Amino acid sequence: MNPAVEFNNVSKSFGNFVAVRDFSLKVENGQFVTLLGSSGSGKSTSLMMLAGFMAPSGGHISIDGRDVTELAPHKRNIGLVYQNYALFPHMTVAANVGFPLKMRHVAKAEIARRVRSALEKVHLDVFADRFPAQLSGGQQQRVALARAMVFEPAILLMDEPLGALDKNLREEMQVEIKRIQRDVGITTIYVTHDQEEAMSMSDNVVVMSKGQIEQAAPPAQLYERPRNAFIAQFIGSANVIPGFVKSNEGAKSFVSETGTTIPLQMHGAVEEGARKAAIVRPERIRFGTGNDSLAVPAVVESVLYGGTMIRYATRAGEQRIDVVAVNDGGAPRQPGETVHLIWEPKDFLLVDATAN
Amino acid sequence: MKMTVAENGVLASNKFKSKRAHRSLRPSAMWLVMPGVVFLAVAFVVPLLILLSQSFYDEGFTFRYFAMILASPSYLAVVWITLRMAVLATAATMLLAYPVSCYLMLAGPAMRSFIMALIIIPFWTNILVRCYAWMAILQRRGLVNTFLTDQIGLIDRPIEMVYNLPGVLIGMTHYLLPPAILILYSINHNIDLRIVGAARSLGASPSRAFRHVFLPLSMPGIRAATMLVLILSLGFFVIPALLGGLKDMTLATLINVQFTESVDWHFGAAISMVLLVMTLVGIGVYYQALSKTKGGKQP
Ligand SMILES: Nc1ncnc2c1ncn2[C@@H]1O[C@H](COP(=O)(O)OP(=O)(O)O)[C@@H](O)[C@H]1O
Ligand SMILES: [Mg+2]
Repeated sequence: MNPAVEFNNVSKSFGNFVAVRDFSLKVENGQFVTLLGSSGSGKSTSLMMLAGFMAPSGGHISIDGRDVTELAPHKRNIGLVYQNYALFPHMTVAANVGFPLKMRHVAKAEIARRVRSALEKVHLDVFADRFPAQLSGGQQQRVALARAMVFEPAILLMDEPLGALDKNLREEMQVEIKRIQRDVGITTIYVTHDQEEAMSMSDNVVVMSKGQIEQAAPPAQLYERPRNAFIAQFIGSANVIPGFVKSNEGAKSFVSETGTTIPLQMHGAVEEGARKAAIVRPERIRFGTGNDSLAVPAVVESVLYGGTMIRYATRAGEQRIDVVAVNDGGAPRQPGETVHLIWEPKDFLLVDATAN
Repeated sequence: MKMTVAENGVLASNKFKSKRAHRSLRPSAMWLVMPGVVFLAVAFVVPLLILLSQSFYDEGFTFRYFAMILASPSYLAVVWITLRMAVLATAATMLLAYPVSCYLMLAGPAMRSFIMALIIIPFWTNILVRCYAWMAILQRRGLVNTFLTDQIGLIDRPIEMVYNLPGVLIGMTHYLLPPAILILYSINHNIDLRIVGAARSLGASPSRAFRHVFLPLSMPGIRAATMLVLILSLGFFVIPALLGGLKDMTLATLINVQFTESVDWHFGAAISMVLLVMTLVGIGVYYQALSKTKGGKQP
């Protein structure tokens, strides 16, 4: 079966500036894929090329196996939801949602029926006769969603659809969008700069930076197996320790740039001497005892009591290492206290120190 | 003519400012505006009222002069010619101005500045200069006819393009285009073009996206520009006098004749009254249209 969407070495330049470079991505049918990246990383540009509003400077885009690189936007059968909703201010909610059907010459009665059912799906059927300006932001967003899906497009594209909403509403809408997407089973490409949003909603997350894909993987893999220090830092929080591997009489250790030595128990070969970054998530670090052969001695510098979690900033030699511990009811460690940091060998990753 | 444009612009913008100003204006500040108000009253409003009062006062109260206008087919014809000329010039102006204003929205900043300069330079050029320029271009031995007959031999006899209605319309349209484009652009450049893009992605071809989305959203600008152009074109007299034929007598031209040639001030005042009422009706509709724009794009 053909992938629902395929980008093949797509690039886009504005003058000398390259906004998207060598972008290759396959999206399978029914998948929810998120383009994640900070502002200016080329997410919208990629999406607009897929929607047909920008012509790629190079490469090909296909939808369901058909090359659409040259196809006009109105012939691509794509539902598009913008951050600012882009509702038609001079039309009622019902007319907005009915618009794509009208453009497809669907009969009047059929339009009315499908508009009603689309509005029911987003719980807005009672607002059919209102104008967009008479609705709240969240309601407008749901109208935009209903309008983008009512004509049963092959693909749904959403460009920061929740960016204008406040936090509570945003979380509510995340759940709702995910529910509707799963019910309808529509292939969806979602754009956001919010990594929590990306992680919680997606089957696959594509992390972009400076117009390039840093890593494309399911959320759990992105978190557990980041390809480089950039990803590790971008997704969740991580202790990123630049340094290199050193071997001493068969025992391997990692020496940070700050001079702290961390004993290693690695499976497989590790390249000695090469500049690497060690990644260890704060919540994977435990406090052990000096008897652990792999423990790293450190001094607690500060304690942040957060209720469920307690955050410690510790220093192993010159290297700062953050620890997050579940509040188990015991007395928290005190600043100045010496602790022994331990972790499972699998939680200590050596990755490329630099991004692409 | 120049004054009319400026005054209309000032009127339009003051109407909205004054609402805000009234609230914050301290009584002592009133003294600051008094000199201007007094000057306008003495130099403009009072003479105008005295003049207009002559239309129904001639050694006693009389409707004689209005009756003269209404009873005479030739004077009614002038009213009709004025109206028709204004409507035709407005239609021609709007048809030409609308695409230009749309192009201005789409153009890049450099191109936009360039076109703006092209629009504003004739706007600053004296109306007499423009009329004589058009004569040179349009007359029997003018640029266009010489080119068509002698240079490319497309026609044998020159086309009559000036000293008739087409001549007046060309001159008026040329005069009205800059303000029309500027008003259209200033109101419509707020339209979010992403909305038009949304229509395209929802399956509308370029022409249907224009017809169903852009055109309705640009109606406030079209309404405002149409009314202003119509009001301006009701008051023309230099252009019809210079570029028109004998038949192209407008109310404004007729007023000029009454005051300067026939020296019949009472009759001239009556015609002025007719023109003033026609224009005021126009302004009324114009502000109606404008308040709809200000009420937002939503009904
Ligand atoms: N039409 C354009 N002309 C010039 N530069 C553009 C244009 N559109 C986007 N860019 C540039 O391309 C880069 C990527 O933009 P965009 O795809 O919108 O980023 P994102 O959506 O990830 O925030 C940005 O640096 C932006 O300034
Ligand atoms: Mg963007």
